Amino acid sequence: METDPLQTRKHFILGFGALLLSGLALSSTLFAKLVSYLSGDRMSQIDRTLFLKTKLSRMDQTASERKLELERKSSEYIFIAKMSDLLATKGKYFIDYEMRPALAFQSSEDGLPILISAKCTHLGCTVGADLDENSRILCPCHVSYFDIKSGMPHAGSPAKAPLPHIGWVIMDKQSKIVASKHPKREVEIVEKLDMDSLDHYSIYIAKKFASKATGEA
Amino acid sequence: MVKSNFFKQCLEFVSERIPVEKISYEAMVQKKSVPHHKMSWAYYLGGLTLLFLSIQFITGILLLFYYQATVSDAHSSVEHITQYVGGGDLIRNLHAWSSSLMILCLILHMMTTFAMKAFQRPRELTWITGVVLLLLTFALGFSGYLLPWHQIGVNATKVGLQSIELIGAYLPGELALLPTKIKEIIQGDSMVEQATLSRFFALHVVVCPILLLGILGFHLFSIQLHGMSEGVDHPTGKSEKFFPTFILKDLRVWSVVFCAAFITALCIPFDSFSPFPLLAPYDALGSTPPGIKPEWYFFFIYYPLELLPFWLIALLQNLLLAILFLAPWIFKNTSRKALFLITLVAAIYFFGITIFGQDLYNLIMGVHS
Ligand code: HEM
Ligand code: FES
Repeated sequence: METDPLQTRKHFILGFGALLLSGLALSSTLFAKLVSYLSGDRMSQIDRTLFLKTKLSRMDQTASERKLELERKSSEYIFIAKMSDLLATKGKYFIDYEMRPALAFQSSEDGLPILISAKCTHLGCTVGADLDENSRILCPCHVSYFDIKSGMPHAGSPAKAPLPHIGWVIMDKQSKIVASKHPKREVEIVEKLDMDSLDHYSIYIAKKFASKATGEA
Repeated sequence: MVKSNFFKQCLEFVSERIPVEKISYEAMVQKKSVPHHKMSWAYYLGGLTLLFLSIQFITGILLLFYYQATVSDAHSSVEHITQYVGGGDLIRNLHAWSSSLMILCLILHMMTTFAMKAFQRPRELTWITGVVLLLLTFALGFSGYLLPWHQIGVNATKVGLQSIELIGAYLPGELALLPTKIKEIIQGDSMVEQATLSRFFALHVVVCPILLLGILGFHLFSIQLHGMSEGVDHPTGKSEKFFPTFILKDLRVWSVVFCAAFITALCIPFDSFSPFPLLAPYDALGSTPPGIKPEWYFFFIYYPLELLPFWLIALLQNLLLAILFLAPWIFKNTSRKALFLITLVAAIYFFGITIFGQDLYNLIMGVHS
Protein backbone atom coordinates (compact mmCIF):
# COMPACT_ATOMS: atom_id res chain seq x y z
CA MET A 1 0.00 0.00 0.00
CA GLU A 2 1.31 3.41 -0.96
CA THR A 3 1.46 6.02 1.79
CA ASP A 4 1.32 9.68 1.01
CA PRO A 5 4.46 11.22 2.53
CA LEU A 6 2.53 14.42 3.20
CA GLN A 7 -0.16 12.49 5.09
CA THR A 8 2.51 10.67 7.06
CA ARG A 9 4.22 13.90 7.97
CA LYS A 10 0.91 15.42 9.03
CA HIS A 11 0.22 12.44 11.29
CA PHE A 12 3.67 12.64 12.69
CA ILE A 13 3.38 16.32 13.49
CA LEU A 14 -0.06 15.87 15.02
CA GLY A 15 1.07 12.91 17.11
CA PHE A 16 4.20 14.65 18.22
CA GLY A 17 2.28 17.79 19.10
CA ALA A 18 -0.24 15.85 21.14
CA LEU A 19 2.53 14.04 22.97
CA LEU A 20 4.33 17.29 23.68
CA LEU A 21 1.18 18.89 25.00
CA SER A 22 0.21 16.04 27.27
CA GLY A 23 3.80 15.69 28.44
CA LEU A 24 3.83 19.39 29.24
CA ALA A 25 0.51 19.14 31.09
CA LEU A 26 1.68 16.16 33.12
CA SER A 27 5.07 17.57 34.01
CA SER A 28 3.70 20.98 34.95
CA THR A 29 1.10 19.34 37.21
CA LEU A 30 3.84 17.23 38.73
CA PHE A 31 6.10 20.23 39.15
CA ALA A 32 3.37 22.35 40.73
CA LYS A 33 2.50 19.57 43.17
CA LEU A 34 6.15 19.09 44.05
CA VAL A 35 6.73 22.78 44.71
CA SER A 36 3.66 23.05 46.91
CA TYR A 37 4.68 19.88 48.75
CA LEU A 38 8.12 21.24 49.46
CA SER A 39 6.77 24.63 50.57
CA GLY A 40 5.36 23.15 53.76
CA ASP A 41 1.86 23.03 55.12
CA ARG A 42 -0.93 25.50 54.50
CA MET A 43 -3.15 25.56 57.52
CA SER A 44 -5.73 28.04 58.62
CA GLN A 45 -5.57 29.33 62.19
CA ILE A 46 -8.44 27.02 63.15
CA ASP A 47 -6.89 23.99 61.48
CA ARG A 48 -3.62 24.59 63.22
CA THR A 49 -5.29 24.96 66.60
CA LEU A 50 -7.27 21.76 66.13
CA PHE A 51 -4.27 19.88 64.84
CA LEU A 52 -2.11 20.98 67.76
CA LYS A 53 -4.82 19.77 70.10
CA THR A 54 -4.84 16.37 68.44
CA LYS A 55 -1.07 16.17 68.67
CA LEU A 56 -1.08 17.11 72.33
CA SER A 57 -3.73 14.57 73.19
CA ARG A 58 -1.68 11.84 71.50
CA MET A 59 1.34 12.91 73.51
CA ASP A 60 -0.75 12.84 76.66
CA GLN A 61 -1.80 9.33 75.76
CA THR A 62 1.81 8.26 75.32
CA ALA A 63 2.74 10.03 78.54
CA SER A 64 0.02 8.20 80.44
CA GLU A 65 1.25 4.88 79.04
CA ARG A 66 4.75 5.72 80.22
CA LYS A 67 3.38 6.62 83.64
CA LEU A 68 1.61 3.28 83.81
CA GLU A 69 4.90 1.57 83.08
CA LEU A 70 6.75 3.53 85.75
CA GLU A 71 4.02 2.80 88.27
CA ARG A 72 4.31 -0.90 87.56
CA LYS A 73 8.05 -0.80 88.12
CA SER A 74 7.80 1.02 91.43
CA SER A 75 4.53 0.24 93.23
CA GLU A 76 3.63 -2.80 95.31
CA TYR A 77 -0.09 -2.31 94.64
CA ILE A 78 -1.85 -0.73 91.70
CA PHE A 79 -5.39 0.56 91.80
CA ILE A 80 -7.71 -1.04 89.25
CA ALA A 81 -11.24 0.04 90.12
CA LYS A 82 -13.69 0.59 92.90
CA MET A 83 -15.63 -2.55 93.70
CA SER A 84 -18.83 -0.71 92.90
CA ASP A 85 -17.58 0.14 89.39
CA LEU A 86 -17.15 -3.44 88.25
CA LEU A 87 -19.86 -4.98 86.11
CA ALA A 88 -20.79 -8.61 85.67
CA THR A 89 -21.33 -8.39 81.91
CA LYS A 90 -18.78 -5.90 80.71
CA GLY A 91 -15.14 -5.97 81.71
CA LYS A 92 -13.02 -2.99 82.59
CA TYR A 93 -9.67 -2.90 80.82
CA PHE A 94 -6.51 -2.39 82.81
CA ILE A 95 -2.81 -3.05 82.34
CA ASP A 96 -1.15 -5.76 84.39
CA TYR A 97 2.35 -5.76 85.88
CA GLU A 98 3.80 -7.05 82.60
CA MET A 99 2.15 -4.16 80.71
CA ARG A 100 -0.28 -6.55 79.06
CA PRO A 101 -3.99 -5.77 78.72
CA ALA A 102 -6.33 -7.45 81.17
CA LEU A 103 -10.01 -7.30 82.15
CA ALA A 104 -11.79 -6.94 85.47
CA PHE A 105 -15.30 -8.31 86.02
CA GLN A 106 -17.52 -8.78 88.99
CA SER A 107 -18.39 -12.42 89.44
CA SER A 108 -22.10 -12.99 89.05
CA GLU A 109 -21.88 -15.76 91.66
CA ASP A 110 -20.16 -14.33 94.73
CA GLY A 111 -19.82 -10.70 93.75
CA LEU A 112 -16.03 -10.84 94.08
CA PRO A 113 -13.70 -9.61 91.31
CA ILE A 114 -12.54 -11.78 88.43
CA LEU A 115 -9.31 -10.48 86.91
CA ILE A 116 -8.22 -12.17 83.74
CA SER A 117 -5.56 -11.52 81.12
CA ALA A 118 -6.95 -10.08 77.87
CA LYS A 119 -3.97 -11.06 75.75
CA CYS A 120 -5.26 -13.85 73.55
CA THR A 121 -3.21 -17.01 73.93
CA HIS A 122 -3.49 -17.62 70.19
CA LEU A 123 -1.72 -14.71 68.49
CA GLY A 124 -1.88 -12.03 71.12
CA CYS A 125 -4.79 -9.84 70.04
CA THR A 126 -6.63 -8.01 72.81
CA VAL A 127 -9.80 -9.86 73.74
CA GLY A 128 -13.10 -7.94 73.77
CA ALA A 129 -14.72 -6.81 77.03
CA ASP A 130 -18.31 -7.93 76.51
CA LEU A 131 -19.55 -11.12 78.10
CA ASP A 132 -21.91 -13.25 76.03
CA GLU A 133 -24.82 -15.25 77.50
CA ASN A 134 -22.48 -18.18 78.28
CA SER A 135 -20.17 -15.89 80.29
CA ARG A 136 -17.52 -15.94 77.60
CA ILE A 137 -15.42 -13.16 76.11
CA LEU A 138 -14.48 -13.11 72.45
CA CYS A 139 -11.17 -12.57 70.70
CA PRO A 140 -12.20 -11.02 67.39
CA CYS A 141 -9.02 -11.87 65.51
CA HIS A 142 -9.69 -15.53 64.79
CA VAL A 143 -12.79 -16.08 66.92
CA SER A 144 -11.74 -17.69 70.20
CA TYR A 145 -14.30 -17.63 73.04
CA PHE A 146 -12.89 -17.79 76.58
CA ASP A 147 -14.85 -18.70 79.67
CA ILE A 148 -13.93 -16.04 82.22
CA LYS A 149 -14.33 -18.33 85.23
CA SER A 150 -11.96 -21.04 84.06
CA GLY A 151 -10.12 -19.00 81.42
CA MET A 152 -10.55 -21.94 79.03
CA PRO A 153 -11.11 -21.41 75.30
CA HIS A 154 -14.09 -23.21 73.76
CA ALA A 155 -13.49 -26.44 71.90
CA GLY A 156 -12.37 -25.92 68.33
CA SER A 157 -11.12 -22.36 68.81
CA PRO A 158 -7.69 -21.47 67.46
CA ALA A 159 -6.47 -20.62 70.97
CA LYS A 160 -5.58 -23.73 72.95
CA ALA A 161 -4.25 -22.40 76.26
CA PRO A 162 -6.47 -20.73 78.86
CA LEU A 163 -6.26 -17.01 79.60
CA PRO A 164 -4.46 -16.81 82.96
CA HIS A 165 -6.20 -15.22 85.93
CA ILE A 166 -4.56 -12.36 87.76
CA GLY A 167 -4.35 -12.12 91.52
CA TRP A 168 -5.92 -9.19 93.38
CA VAL A 169 -6.35 -7.63 96.78
CA ILE A 170 -9.31 -5.66 98.10
CA MET A 171 -8.65 -2.76 100.44
CA ASP A 172 -11.09 -0.73 102.44
CA LYS A 173 -11.08 3.03 102.86
CA GLN A 174 -8.27 2.85 105.43
CA SER A 175 -6.12 0.89 102.93
CA LYS A 176 -6.47 -2.21 105.03
CA ILE A 177 -6.45 -5.44 103.10
CA VAL A 178 -9.77 -7.19 103.61
CA ALA A 179 -9.51 -9.93 100.98
CA SER A 180 -7.00 -11.24 98.47
CA LYS A 181 -6.60 -13.86 95.80
CA HIS A 182 -3.46 -15.54 94.58
CA PRO A 183 -3.97 -16.42 90.88
CA LYS A 184 -3.73 -20.15 91.63
CA ARG A 185 -5.34 -20.35 95.06
CA GLU A 186 -8.68 -19.82 96.74
CA VAL A 187 -9.84 -16.40 97.91
CA GLU A 188 -8.60 -15.41 101.34
CA ILE A 189 -11.09 -13.34 103.29
CA VAL A 190 -9.53 -11.35 106.12
CA GLU A 191 -12.62 -9.46 107.10
CA LYS A 192 -16.12 -10.04 105.83
CA LEU A 193 -17.08 -7.60 103.08
CA ASP A 194 -20.16 -5.47 103.42
CA MET A 195 -21.74 -6.22 100.05
CA ASP A 196 -24.20 -3.33 100.36
CA SER A 197 -21.58 -0.63 100.41
CA LEU A 198 -19.19 -1.79 97.70
CA ASP A 199 -17.99 1.74 97.05
CA HIS A 200 -16.03 1.46 100.29
CA TYR A 201 -13.74 -1.10 98.70
CA SER A 202 -11.09 -0.79 96.02
CA ILE A 203 -9.41 -3.48 93.96
CA TYR A 204 -5.68 -3.55 93.44
CA ILE A 205 -3.28 -5.82 91.62
CA ALA A 206 -0.24 -6.75 93.65
CA LYS A 207 3.39 -7.10 92.68
CA LYS A 208 3.68 -10.25 94.79
CA PHE A 209 0.99 -11.85 92.57
CA ALA A 210 2.55 -10.71 89.26
CA SER A 211 3.55 -13.59 87.04
CA LYS A 212 7.25 -12.92 87.58
CA ALA A 213 6.76 -13.38 91.32
CA THR A 214 4.56 -16.45 91.03
CA GLY A 215 6.81 -17.99 88.38
CA GLU A 216 4.38 -18.25 85.49
CA ALA A 217 4.83 -17.25 81.89
CA MET B 1 44.30 -33.20 43.66
CA VAL B 2 40.69 -33.06 44.79
CA LYS B 3 41.09 -29.69 46.40
CA SER B 4 42.39 -27.80 43.42
CA ASN B 5 39.85 -29.53 41.22
CA PHE B 6 37.08 -28.24 43.42
CA PHE B 7 38.60 -24.79 43.35
CA LYS B 8 38.78 -24.92 39.58
CA GLN B 9 35.16 -25.94 39.36
CA CYS B 10 34.13 -23.06 41.55
CA LEU B 11 36.08 -20.68 39.40
CA GLU B 12 34.51 -22.10 36.26
CA PHE B 13 31.07 -21.82 37.76
CA VAL B 14 31.57 -18.20 38.62
CA SER B 15 33.24 -17.21 35.38
CA GLU B 16 30.45 -18.74 33.34
CA ARG B 17 27.81 -16.88 35.40
CA ILE B 18 29.72 -13.63 35.46
CA PRO B 19 31.54 -13.51 32.13
CA VAL B 20 33.77 -10.54 32.86
CA GLU B 21 35.32 -10.71 29.40
CA LYS B 22 31.95 -9.50 28.10
CA ILE B 23 32.05 -6.28 30.07
CA SER B 24 32.08 -3.74 27.30
CA TYR B 25 29.78 -1.11 25.96
CA GLU B 26 29.62 -3.03 22.72
CA ALA B 27 28.49 -6.36 24.19
CA MET B 28 26.29 -5.03 26.91
CA VAL B 29 24.47 -2.26 25.10
CA GLN B 30 25.10 -2.13 21.37
CA LYS B 31 24.83 -5.82 20.62
CA LYS B 32 22.13 -6.76 23.11
CA SER B 33 18.87 -7.72 21.49
CA VAL B 34 15.45 -8.67 22.76
CA PRO B 35 13.78 -11.72 21.14
CA HIS B 36 10.46 -11.18 19.44
CA HIS B 37 7.76 -13.82 19.96
CA LYS B 38 4.29 -14.24 21.44
CA MET B 39 5.60 -13.96 25.02
CA SER B 40 7.64 -10.80 24.33
CA TRP B 41 5.29 -8.71 26.47
CA ALA B 42 6.79 -10.41 29.50
CA TYR B 43 10.08 -8.59 28.86
CA TYR B 44 8.38 -5.38 30.00
CA LEU B 45 7.54 -6.65 33.48
CA GLY B 46 10.99 -6.34 35.03
CA GLY B 47 11.24 -2.83 33.66
CA LEU B 48 7.84 -1.90 35.06
CA THR B 49 8.91 -3.18 38.45
CA LEU B 50 11.90 -0.88 38.11
CA LEU B 51 9.60 2.05 37.26
CA PHE B 52 7.51 1.47 40.38
CA LEU B 53 10.63 1.02 42.48
CA SER B 54 11.84 4.42 41.30
CA ILE B 55 8.48 5.95 42.21
CA GLN B 56 8.83 4.37 45.66
CA PHE B 57 12.25 5.91 46.13
CA ILE B 58 11.18 9.39 45.09
CA THR B 59 7.86 9.48 46.97
CA GLY B 60 9.48 7.76 49.95
CA ILE B 61 12.16 10.43 50.27
CA LEU B 62 9.48 13.10 50.01
CA LEU B 63 7.42 11.46 52.77
CA LEU B 64 10.52 11.47 54.97
CA PHE B 65 10.45 15.27 54.95
CA TYR B 66 7.37 15.22 57.18
CA TYR B 67 6.98 11.76 58.68
CA GLN B 68 7.90 11.30 62.37
CA ALA B 69 8.68 7.82 63.65
CA THR B 70 7.44 8.01 67.22
CA VAL B 71 4.39 6.30 68.66
CA SER B 72 2.81 9.58 69.68
CA ASP B 73 3.52 11.47 66.46
CA ALA B 74 3.55 8.91 63.65
CA HIS B 75 -0.18 8.90 63.05
CA SER B 76 -0.63 12.65 63.30
CA SER B 77 2.38 13.32 61.09
CA VAL B 78 0.80 11.19 58.37
CA GLU B 79 -2.46 13.05 58.89
CA HIS B 80 -0.52 16.28 58.58
CA ILE B 81 0.96 15.19 55.26
CA THR B 82 -2.31 14.11 53.72
CA GLN B 83 -4.49 16.91 54.98
CA TYR B 84 -2.37 20.00 55.29
CA VAL B 85 0.69 19.73 53.06
CA GLY B 86 0.07 20.73 49.45
CA GLY B 87 0.13 17.64 47.25
CA GLY B 88 0.78 15.50 50.32
CA ASP B 89 -2.20 13.24 49.75
CA LEU B 90 -0.96 12.65 46.21
CA ILE B 91 2.56 11.75 47.35
CA ARG B 92 1.35 9.35 50.02
CA ASN B 93 -1.23 7.87 47.69
CA LEU B 94 1.35 7.34 44.96
CA HIS B 95 3.62 5.59 47.45
CA ALA B 96 0.78 3.27 48.49
CA TRP B 97 -0.51 2.53 44.99
CA SER B 98 2.91 2.12 43.52
CA SER B 99 3.96 -0.32 46.25
CA SER B 100 1.04 -2.56 45.40
CA LEU B 101 1.62 -2.22 41.66
CA MET B 102 5.32 -2.95 42.13
CA ILE B 103 4.55 -6.17 43.94
CA LEU B 104 1.99 -7.12 41.31
CA CYS B 105 4.54 -6.58 38.51
CA LEU B 106 7.19 -8.37 40.53
CA ILE B 107 5.03 -11.45 40.96
CA LEU B 108 4.06 -11.47 37.29
CA HIS B 109 7.73 -10.95 36.37
CA MET B 110 8.73 -13.94 38.45
CA MET B 111 5.95 -16.08 37.04
CA THR B 112 6.79 -15.25 33.43
CA THR B 113 10.55 -15.69 33.79
CA PHE B 114 9.80 -19.03 35.41
CA ALA B 115 7.39 -20.15 32.70
CA MET B 116 9.85 -19.06 30.01
CA LYS B 117 12.65 -20.96 31.72
CA ALA B 118 14.79 -17.84 31.85
CA PHE B 119 16.51 -19.20 34.97
CA GLN B 120 18.45 -21.74 32.90
CA ARG B 121 22.22 -21.92 32.90
CA PRO B 122 24.00 -19.49 32.83
CA ARG B 123 21.28 -17.28 34.38
CA GLU B 124 20.96 -19.06 37.74
CA LEU B 125 22.34 -16.11 39.66
CA THR B 126 19.94 -13.72 37.93
CA TRP B 127 17.10 -15.91 39.18
CA ILE B 128 18.46 -16.28 42.71
CA THR B 129 19.08 -12.55 43.13
CA GLY B 130 15.51 -12.17 41.86
CA VAL B 131 14.19 -14.35 44.68
CA VAL B 132 16.15 -12.28 47.20
CA LEU B 133 14.68 -9.11 45.67
CA LEU B 134 11.22 -10.59 46.11
CA LEU B 135 11.86 -11.31 49.79
CA LEU B 136 13.28 -7.83 50.31
CA THR B 137 10.24 -6.31 48.66
CA PHE B 138 7.95 -8.28 50.98
CA ALA B 139 10.03 -7.06 53.92
CA LEU B 140 9.54 -3.50 52.69
CA GLY B 141 5.81 -4.06 52.48
CA PHE B 142 5.62 -5.60 55.94
CA SER B 143 7.72 -2.92 57.63
CA GLY B 144 5.94 -0.08 55.83
CA TYR B 145 2.55 -1.24 57.07
CA LEU B 146 3.50 -0.41 60.67
CA LEU B 147 4.80 3.11 60.06
CA PRO B 148 1.49 5.06 60.14
CA TRP B 149 0.84 3.45 63.55
CA HIS B 150 -2.84 2.87 62.88
CA GLN B 151 -4.98 0.11 64.40
CA ILE B 152 -4.77 -2.20 61.42
CA GLY B 153 -1.04 -1.82 60.89
CA VAL B 154 0.02 -2.29 64.50
CA ASN B 155 -2.35 -5.18 65.15
CA ALA B 156 -1.45 -6.94 61.90
CA THR B 157 2.22 -6.56 62.81
CA LYS B 158 1.56 -8.02 66.25
CA VAL B 159 -0.19 -11.02 64.74
CA GLY B 160 2.46 -11.46 62.07
CA LEU B 161 5.30 -11.41 64.59
CA GLN B 162 3.43 -13.56 67.06
CA SER B 163 3.19 -16.34 64.49
CA ILE B 164 6.98 -16.63 64.61
CA GLU B 165 6.55 -17.64 68.23
CA LEU B 166 4.21 -20.49 67.27
CA ILE B 167 7.13 -22.35 65.68
CA GLY B 168 8.48 -22.84 69.20
CA ALA B 169 5.80 -25.43 69.96
CA TYR B 170 7.39 -27.76 67.38
CA LEU B 171 10.97 -27.46 68.61
CA PRO B 172 12.50 -29.67 71.28
CA GLY B 173 13.87 -28.58 74.66
CA GLU B 174 15.65 -25.27 74.98
CA LEU B 175 15.26 -24.63 71.25
CA ALA B 176 11.56 -24.04 71.87
CA LEU B 177 12.45 -20.63 73.31
CA LEU B 178 14.42 -19.56 70.25
CA PRO B 179 11.49 -18.29 68.14
CA THR B 180 10.31 -16.09 71.03
CA LYS B 181 13.82 -14.70 71.30
CA ILE B 182 13.91 -14.01 67.56
CA LYS B 183 10.53 -12.31 67.76
CA GLU B 184 11.70 -10.11 70.60
CA ILE B 185 14.85 -9.20 68.71
CA ILE B 186 12.78 -8.08 65.74
CA GLN B 187 10.34 -6.29 68.02
CA GLY B 188 13.09 -4.78 70.16
CA ASP B 189 10.83 -5.15 73.19
CA SER B 190 8.44 -7.67 74.68
CA MET B 191 5.63 -5.87 72.87
CA VAL B 192 5.08 -3.97 69.65
CA GLU B 193 6.09 -0.56 70.96
CA GLN B 194 8.31 2.42 70.20
CA ALA B 195 11.34 0.12 69.85
CA THR B 196 9.52 -1.82 67.14
CA LEU B 197 8.55 1.34 65.30
CA SER B 198 12.16 2.58 65.36
CA ARG B 199 13.47 -0.72 64.04
CA PHE B 200 10.86 -1.05 61.33
CA PHE B 201 11.53 2.54 60.32
CA ALA B 202 15.25 1.82 59.96
CA LEU B 203 14.51 -1.38 58.04
CA HIS B 204 12.01 0.30 55.77
CA VAL B 205 13.96 3.39 54.84
CA VAL B 206 17.59 2.33 55.13
CA VAL B 207 18.38 -1.36 55.43
CA CYS B 208 16.00 -2.90 52.90
CA PRO B 209 16.41 -0.18 50.24
CA ILE B 210 20.22 -0.35 50.40
CA LEU B 211 20.25 -4.14 50.17
CA LEU B 212 17.67 -3.97 47.41
CA LEU B 213 19.67 -1.48 45.38
CA GLY B 214 22.86 -3.51 45.71
CA ILE B 215 21.26 -6.77 44.71
CA LEU B 216 19.23 -5.13 41.97
CA GLY B 217 22.48 -3.75 40.61
CA PHE B 218 23.80 -7.27 40.27
CA HIS B 219 20.48 -8.50 38.82
CA LEU B 220 20.53 -5.87 36.08
CA PHE B 221 24.25 -6.19 35.47
CA SER B 222 24.03 -9.91 34.86
CA ILE B 223 21.06 -9.42 32.54
CA GLN B 224 23.12 -7.03 30.44
CA LEU B 225 26.03 -9.47 30.46
CA HIS B 226 24.04 -12.50 29.38
CA GLY B 227 21.55 -10.77 27.13
CA MET B 228 17.91 -11.82 27.11
CA SER B 229 17.14 -15.53 27.10
CA GLU B 230 15.15 -16.93 24.18
CA GLY B 231 12.15 -17.73 26.32
CA VAL B 232 10.34 -20.03 23.86
CA ASP B 233 10.99 -23.50 22.43
CA HIS B 234 10.95 -22.42 18.81
CA PRO B 235 12.58 -19.03 18.48
CA THR B 236 11.08 -16.97 15.67
CA GLY B 237 14.53 -15.73 14.82
CA LYS B 238 13.20 -12.20 14.96
CA SER B 239 14.56 -9.78 17.51
CA GLU B 240 14.85 -6.10 18.26
CA LYS B 241 17.88 -4.13 19.21
CA PHE B 242 17.90 -3.39 22.93
CA PHE B 243 19.28 0.06 22.28
CA PRO B 244 17.55 2.15 21.13
CA THR B 245 14.49 0.18 19.93
CA PHE B 246 13.56 -1.74 23.06
CA ILE B 247 14.51 1.04 25.46
CA LEU B 248 12.21 3.40 23.58
CA LYS B 249 9.39 0.88 23.69
CA ASP B 250 10.07 0.43 27.40
CA LEU B 251 9.83 4.18 27.88
CA ARG B 252 6.56 4.24 25.97
CA VAL B 253 5.07 1.60 28.25
CA TRP B 254 6.44 3.44 31.28
CA SER B 255 4.86 6.74 30.31
CA VAL B 256 1.45 5.16 29.76
CA VAL B 257 1.65 3.21 33.00
CA PHE B 258 2.94 6.21 34.92
CA CYS B 259 0.07 8.35 33.65
CA ALA B 260 -2.40 5.67 34.70
CA ALA B 261 -0.83 5.31 38.16
CA PHE B 262 -0.63 9.10 38.56
CA ILE B 263 -4.29 9.61 37.70
CA THR B 264 -5.30 6.70 39.92
CA ALA B 265 -3.36 8.16 42.85
CA LEU B 266 -4.87 11.57 42.15
CA CYS B 267 -8.45 10.29 42.16
CA ILE B 268 -8.70 7.14 44.29
CA PRO B 269 -7.35 7.25 47.85
CA PHE B 270 -5.66 3.94 48.56
CA ASP B 271 -7.26 4.07 52.01
CA SER B 272 -10.71 3.80 50.51
CA PHE B 273 -10.31 0.03 50.50
CA SER B 274 -9.89 -0.14 54.30
CA PRO B 275 -12.80 0.19 56.68
CA PHE B 276 -12.33 3.54 58.37
CA PRO B 277 -12.08 2.65 62.10
CA LEU B 278 -9.07 0.48 61.32
CA LEU B 279 -7.14 3.53 60.22
CA ALA B 280 -7.67 5.31 63.52
CA PRO B 281 -4.54 5.68 65.66
CA TYR B 282 -3.48 2.55 67.51
CA ASP B 283 -4.98 2.27 70.96
CA ALA B 284 -2.76 0.24 73.28
CA LEU B 285 -5.40 0.06 75.98
CA GLY B 286 -8.43 -0.99 73.95
CA SER B 287 -9.52 -4.25 72.37
CA THR B 288 -8.32 -5.31 68.94
CA PRO B 289 -10.94 -4.24 66.41
CA PRO B 290 -12.35 -6.97 64.17
CA GLY B 291 -11.21 -7.13 60.55
CA ILE B 292 -7.44 -7.00 61.09
CA LYS B 293 -5.76 -8.15 57.89
CA PRO B 294 -2.38 -7.81 56.25
CA GLU B 295 -2.01 -6.18 52.83
CA TRP B 296 -3.45 -8.11 49.91
CA TYR B 297 -0.10 -9.48 48.77
CA PHE B 298 0.19 -11.48 51.98
CA PHE B 299 -3.26 -13.06 51.58
CA PHE B 300 -1.75 -16.10 49.84
CA ILE B 301 -0.15 -17.01 53.15
CA TYR B 302 -2.57 -15.29 55.55
CA TYR B 303 -5.74 -17.21 54.65
CA PRO B 304 -4.08 -20.64 54.72
CA LEU B 305 -2.66 -19.66 58.13
CA GLU B 306 -6.19 -18.91 59.28
CA LEU B 307 -7.67 -22.09 57.93
CA LEU B 308 -5.03 -24.81 58.15
CA PRO B 309 -2.81 -26.12 60.96
CA PHE B 310 0.20 -23.93 61.55
CA TRP B 311 2.84 -26.64 61.14
CA LEU B 312 1.54 -27.44 57.67
CA ILE B 313 1.83 -23.83 56.54
CA ALA B 314 5.29 -23.44 58.08
CA LEU B 315 6.38 -26.58 56.25
CA LEU B 316 4.85 -25.58 52.91
CA GLN B 317 6.28 -22.09 53.16
CA ASN B 318 9.82 -23.35 53.72
CA LEU B 319 9.38 -25.88 50.96
CA LEU B 320 8.24 -23.15 48.57
CA LEU B 321 11.25 -21.00 49.49
CA ALA B 322 13.62 -23.90 48.93
CA ILE B 323 12.01 -24.66 45.57
CA LEU B 324 12.27 -21.02 44.53
CA PHE B 325 15.96 -20.83 45.41
CA LEU B 326 16.79 -24.16 43.80
CA ALA B 327 14.50 -23.77 40.78
CA PRO B 328 17.37 -23.55 38.24
CA TRP B 329 18.51 -27.01 39.33
CA ILE B 330 15.18 -28.65 40.19
CA PHE B 331 13.61 -27.71 36.87
CA LYS B 332 16.75 -28.12 34.78
CA ASN B 333 15.22 -30.77 32.55
CA THR B 334 11.59 -29.71 32.77
CA SER B 335 9.98 -28.74 29.50
CA ARG B 336 8.59 -25.24 29.00
CA LYS B 337 5.12 -26.77 28.62
CA ALA B 338 5.33 -28.28 32.11
CA LEU B 339 6.76 -25.05 33.56
CA PHE B 340 3.90 -23.16 31.97
CA LEU B 341 1.37 -25.49 33.62
CA ILE B 342 3.07 -25.15 37.02
CA THR B 343 3.00 -21.37 36.65
CA LEU B 344 -0.66 -21.49 35.69
CA VAL B 345 -1.54 -23.49 38.80
CA ALA B 346 0.51 -21.15 40.99
CA ALA B 347 -1.12 -18.10 39.41
CA ILE B 348 -4.63 -19.50 39.85
CA TYR B 349 -3.85 -20.23 43.49
CA PHE B 350 -2.26 -16.85 44.15
CA PHE B 351 -4.86 -14.67 42.48
CA GLY B 352 -7.72 -16.95 43.50
CA ILE B 353 -6.90 -16.77 47.20
CA THR B 354 -6.13 -13.05 46.97
CA ILE B 355 -9.52 -12.28 45.46
CA PHE B 356 -11.74 -14.95 47.04
CA GLY B 357 -9.85 -15.62 50.31
CA GLN B 358 -12.37 -13.81 52.47
CA ASP B 359 -15.32 -15.64 50.87
CA LEU B 360 -13.56 -18.94 51.31
CA TYR B 361 -12.86 -18.06 54.94
CA ASN B 362 -16.49 -17.10 55.61
CA LEU B 363 -17.68 -20.25 53.89
CA ILE B 364 -15.47 -22.58 55.90
CA MET B 365 -15.82 -20.79 59.24
CA GLY B 366 -19.56 -20.43 58.69
CA VAL B 367 -19.89 -24.19 58.25
CA HIS B 368 -17.83 -24.85 61.38
CA SER B 369 -19.50 -22.66 63.95
C1 HEM C 1 12.97 -5.42 42.72
C2 HEM C 1 12.61 -6.35 41.93
C3 HEM C 1 13.06 -6.65 40.51
C4 HEM C 1 13.41 -5.77 39.52
C5 HEM C 1 13.41 -4.24 39.61
C6 HEM C 1 13.77 -6.57 38.37
C7 HEM C 1 14.18 -6.04 37.15
C8 HEM C 1 14.46 -6.80 36.02
C9 HEM C 1 14.66 -6.28 34.72
C10 HEM C 1 14.60 -4.78 34.33
C11 HEM C 1 14.90 -7.33 33.86
C12 HEM C 1 15.10 -7.28 32.33
C13 HEM C 1 13.76 -7.18 31.59
C14 HEM C 1 12.84 -8.36 31.80
O1 HEM C 1 13.18 -9.51 31.50
O2 HEM C 1 11.73 -8.15 32.32
C15 HEM C 1 14.88 -8.54 34.65
C16 HEM C 1 15.13 -9.83 34.17
C17 HEM C 1 15.04 -11.00 34.94
N1 HEM C 1 14.56 -11.09 36.23
FE1 HEM C 1 14.12 -9.53 37.44
N2 HEM C 1 13.64 -7.90 38.68
C18 HEM C 1 13.21 -7.99 39.97
C19 HEM C 1 12.90 -9.16 40.66
C20 HEM C 1 13.00 -10.46 40.11
C21 HEM C 1 12.47 -11.65 40.73
C22 HEM C 1 11.65 -11.68 42.05
C23 HEM C 1 12.81 -12.72 39.91
C24 HEM C 1 12.53 -14.19 40.10
C25 HEM C 1 12.69 -14.85 41.19
C26 HEM C 1 13.55 -12.19 38.80
C27 HEM C 1 14.09 -12.95 37.78
C28 HEM C 1 14.57 -12.44 36.59
C29 HEM C 1 15.14 -13.23 35.51
C30 HEM C 1 15.37 -14.76 35.51
C31 HEM C 1 15.44 -12.33 34.46
C32 HEM C 1 16.07 -12.67 33.11
C33 HEM C 1 15.01 -12.70 32.06
C34 HEM C 1 15.57 -13.13 30.72
O3 HEM C 1 16.80 -13.15 30.55
O4 HEM C 1 14.74 -13.45 29.85
N3 HEM C 1 13.63 -10.82 38.94
N4 HEM C 1 14.61 -8.19 35.96
S1 FES D 1 -5.36 -13.93 68.29
FE1 FES D 1 -7.12 -14.41 69.41
S2 FES D 1 -8.00 -15.96 68.22
FE2 FES D 1 -6.16 -15.54 67.14
